[in-house]
Amino acid sequence: MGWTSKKSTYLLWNSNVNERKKTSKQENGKLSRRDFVRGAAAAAAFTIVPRHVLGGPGRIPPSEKLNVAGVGIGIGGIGRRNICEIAGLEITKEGKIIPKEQPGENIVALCDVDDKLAANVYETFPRARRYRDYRKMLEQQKDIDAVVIATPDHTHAVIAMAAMQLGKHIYVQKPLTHSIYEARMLTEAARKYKVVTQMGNQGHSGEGARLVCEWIADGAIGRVSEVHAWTDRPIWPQGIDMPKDTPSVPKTLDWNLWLGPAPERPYHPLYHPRFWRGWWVFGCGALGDMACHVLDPAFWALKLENPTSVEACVSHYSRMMKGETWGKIDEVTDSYPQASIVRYEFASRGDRGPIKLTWYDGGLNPARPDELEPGRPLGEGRSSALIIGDKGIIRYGQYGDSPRIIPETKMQAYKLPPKTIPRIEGSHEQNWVQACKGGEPACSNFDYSGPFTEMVLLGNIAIRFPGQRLEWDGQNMKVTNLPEANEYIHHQYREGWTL
Amino acid sequence: MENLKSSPKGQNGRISRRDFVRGAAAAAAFTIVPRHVLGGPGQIPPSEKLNIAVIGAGGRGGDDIKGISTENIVALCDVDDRMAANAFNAYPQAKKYRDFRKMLEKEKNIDAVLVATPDHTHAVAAMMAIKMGKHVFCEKPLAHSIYEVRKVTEAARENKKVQTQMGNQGHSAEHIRMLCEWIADGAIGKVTEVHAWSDRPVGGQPWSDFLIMARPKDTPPVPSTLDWDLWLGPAQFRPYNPDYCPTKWRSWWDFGCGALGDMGCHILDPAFWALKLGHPTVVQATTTHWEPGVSSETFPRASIVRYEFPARGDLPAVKLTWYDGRLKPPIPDCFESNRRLGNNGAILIGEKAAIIHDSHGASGLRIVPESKMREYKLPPKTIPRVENGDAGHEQDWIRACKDGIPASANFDYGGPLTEMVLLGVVAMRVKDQRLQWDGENMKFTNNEQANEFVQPPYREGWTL
Repeated sequence: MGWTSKKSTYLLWNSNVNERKKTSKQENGKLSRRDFVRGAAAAAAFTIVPRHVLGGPGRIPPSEKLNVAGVGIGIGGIGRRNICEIAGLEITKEGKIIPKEQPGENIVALCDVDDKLAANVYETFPRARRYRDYRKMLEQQKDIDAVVIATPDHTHAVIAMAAMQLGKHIYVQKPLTHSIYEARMLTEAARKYKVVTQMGNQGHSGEGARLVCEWIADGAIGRVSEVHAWTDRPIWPQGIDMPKDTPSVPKTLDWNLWLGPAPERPYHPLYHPRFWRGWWVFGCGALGDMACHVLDPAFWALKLENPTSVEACVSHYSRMMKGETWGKIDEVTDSYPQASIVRYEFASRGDRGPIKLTWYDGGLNPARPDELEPGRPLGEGRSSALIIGDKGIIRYGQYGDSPRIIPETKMQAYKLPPKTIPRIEGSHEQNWVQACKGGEPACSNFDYSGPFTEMVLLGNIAIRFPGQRLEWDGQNMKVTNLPEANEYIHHQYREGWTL
Repeated sequence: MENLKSSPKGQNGRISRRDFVRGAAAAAAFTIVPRHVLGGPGQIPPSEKLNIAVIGAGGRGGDDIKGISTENIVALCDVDDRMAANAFNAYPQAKKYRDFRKMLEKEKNIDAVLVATPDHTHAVAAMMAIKMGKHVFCEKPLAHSIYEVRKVTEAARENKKVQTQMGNQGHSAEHIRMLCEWIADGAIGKVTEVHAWSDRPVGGQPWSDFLIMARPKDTPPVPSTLDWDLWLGPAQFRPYNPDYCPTKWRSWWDFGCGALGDMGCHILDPAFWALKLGHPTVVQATTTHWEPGVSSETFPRASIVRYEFPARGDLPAVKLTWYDGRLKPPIPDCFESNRRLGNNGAILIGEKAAIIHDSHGASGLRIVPESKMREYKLPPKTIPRVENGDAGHEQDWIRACKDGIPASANFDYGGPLTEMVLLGVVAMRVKDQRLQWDGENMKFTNNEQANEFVQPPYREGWTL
C-alpha cells in the first residue's frame, strides 16, 4: 500500500474530532511541515494569548492551565501516574514525587471510592477537592475543564459519558470501555459534544507505532497476511471460583459506588483493589488489559476495524490446585480463563489483503519464526507482536516500541522511508493537554480508540463461546450467526445507572 | 504400515489375503497343535496358555489383566499392596511381588510380561523382561524418556523372538485402518497439516485430571502398604507424598508425561501411521506459565507443541500441531457452520478435504465436509484387521506371542510414535525455542539444554 498516494492514516482517524482543524487538514490531505511541528511550536507561539481572547466554549488557550479532575486515581493505579504527569510532577523510581521544570495543569478535584487507596494522591494535591462520587463532583464543581478517568473498566463509560455531556475533555484509561456498545456510544458522544478525547494507550504517542505504520506502508515486508500478538498476562488471578466468604467492607471504601453500574454482589478483596481485571463483570481480562497496547500498531498500520469473524479457545479453569474438586470443569464462573487464544479475521480493505490476527495470553506464544536468529528472544519484553508479510516480518514490543524487521540482516539492509506521520512531543498525557488547549486532536482520540477497543472487546465475546466462530457485522454491532452472543455486546446496568 | 515394512518384525509390509484373515483363522487352524510340536523356544502354540506376569497390577494394570485373562496369570507385582488388592484377590494362585526384579529372577516359568506401572518405571521393567526373552506388553507411553524408548525398541528388535505391543489399544481398531486406507487412496489429497488436541490435564475424571502445583513440602509417613523406594525406581529420590502416588504421578515431570504423553499416543497415532511421519526435524512448544514455587515441576495447564516433518518419499512435508488443556486449533475453513471440534481429536488437512476423528484409534472418523464424505467411494480394506478391534488389543499380542507374527503396535511402531510424543514434552521444558532434531542420532543440533532432557540420569543403583 503506497503511503504517499493516500491520505495519511493519522488524518483518517482524527478527522472528526476537531472541526476547526478538520477543514484545513482535509484540504491539504498531505501533512505539511507546519502541521507536523505544530505540537512543539504551539506553546511558544501562543503563550501570551489570554483565555478570553480565544473563542469556543471549553477551549483553553495555551497560556492558561487546564483545571483537571481525576477520577479513580488509586495509589497503585495508572491514574496516579496520569494525574502527576498532567500536573507536571515526576514520580521517581523510589516513588518520590518531584516537580518538573515545566509546571503542569491545575488538579482541582480528585475522586475515588476508596479513601485509603487515594490517600497518597490526596496528599500530593492538598488543594484539590475530594469526592467519592464522580456524579457529585461533576455536579458541584463547575471549574473542571477536563477529566482523567482511571477507574476499573466497568465504570469507564458512565463516567466518561457524564463528563462529555457536560462538555469536559476526557482522558480515559484503556480499554476505553467494558462493552462494545459502550465504546460505540462514547465514540459517537465524543463527536456530538466536540470534546477532546484520548484513550490511555500511551504507546500510540510513541515513535515505534509510527515506524511500524510507515514501514508497512512502504511495503517493507510486502503484503501482510498474518498478525500474531501475545502477552504474559494475566499476572492476577483468573480461572478461579467466585469467592464465597463475605468479609466486611472496609470503612474507607464505598462498595456501592465501586460497583457502579455492575450488578450487586458482596465486597471481596479478590475484586478490589487489585484483581478486578480477572472478573467478567468488572474487567476485560488479559486481552482487554494488554491488547489495547500490543495490537495498537497493527490496528493502526493495517486499519483493522470491524473484523468479519472471531473465534477463541481457552484453557480450563483452575480446579487443580491442592484440595481440588474433581469434575467441576464446566461450571461457568465469572472469572476469565487463565489462558486464551483469540483468532480474528479481517476482510481485505483498500489495497491490503485479508488478514488473520491471533492473540495469545496466559504465557502462550505464537510459533517462533524460522527467520528469528537462534538465541534471540521471541518477544521484545513481556508482550509483543509479529506482523507477517510475504517479504518479511516486523516484530515490536508491548507499546509498539523497538520495532525491527527480522532477521536483523534484513533490518540493516532496509532503506528507511521518510517519516510522514507527525511525531508527538512529550507524553501521551501532554498530547491530550495540548489538544485540550486547541492543538491537534489527541492522537488516540475516540475516533481511533473507540473502534480499536470494539475490536479488542469482540475477542472477549468469543472467549465466552470457545470453539465457535462468531460472524461479526461491525456496522450493526451484531453477531450474525449466534444470537446468544449478542447479549454480551452490552450488559444490563444496575437500576439507577444509565449511559 | 510402512514402519512395519522397514523393520525386521514387519516383513509383511504388504498385506496378503492370508495375513488379513490370519487373526480370525489362527485360533481355528491351530487349536489342536500341542506346544512341543511347534518349534522355537518361546513359541507357544495357540492350544496352550501363556504364563503371564503383570508388573503394576493395581491401577491401569488391573484393567489390562481383563484383556489377558484367557492366559495363566502366574505372577503379580505391585509396589502398593492396597492398590493391587483387587488384582491380588482375583488371582489367588499367582505369586505376589513388590519388586519386579525379584519376580523375574525367581519365577522361571514366565513367558510374557505386562507392564502397567507409572511411566517412569516402564523402561526398566520392560527392558529386563526383553533381555530375559519374555514377550512384553507395555502401557503407553512406552517409556518416560526418548533415550529409554530408543533403547527398549532396539532391545526388542534384537531379541527377535520377543513379541511386543504398546498399550495404545486404538491401534487395533477398525477406524484407524480405514483412515490409513483412505489417506493412501488419496481421499483428501496430499496432507500437509495436522492438528490434534486434548482437554487434559482436565478431563473431568480423577484419572484424567492432573495436578498443577508446586512440589509439596509436607512429608506424611509412607503407608505401610507401599514400598516408596520401589515406586520411585530409577527416578531421583524425593519424600513420599500422596500428590504423586498412587494416582497423581502423571502431573509431574519426573514421573509422568502430562497430557501429551497420556493422550498423544492415542490421538496422534492415526496421523503417525497413515502419514508415515517418523522423526520430526523441528519441534517447538509454548505453554501457560509455570513459576518456581508454584507449578514448576508439574506439566503446564495448557500447551501447544508444533512439529515439522520433512517430505517422506512422495509424501509432502507436514506441520503437526498439538494442543492440550482445552486449547484447540482454529476451526477449519472446510467446517460446516454447525460442526464443532470435540474434547479430544485430530484433523488431517489435505489439499482436497480434511479428515476429522476422535480420540482413540481414529474413532468417529469422517471426511469433512460431509458432502465429500457422502460422495467418497470407500476403498478396499487392505490392512489386516484385529479380531475385536481395539477390544482385542491385548489378545492380538497374545496371538503374536503364539504365532510369531507381530502385533500392530509392536515396539517398532510404538517406539517411534512415543519418541515423537516425548519430543514434545522436551520442547515444553525448553519452551518457545525452535528445536532442530536429529532423530537418527537422537539429539538436538541447536540446543544443549534440550539434550539434557533426552536422557535424564537414573538414581544410583538403576540402569537400563
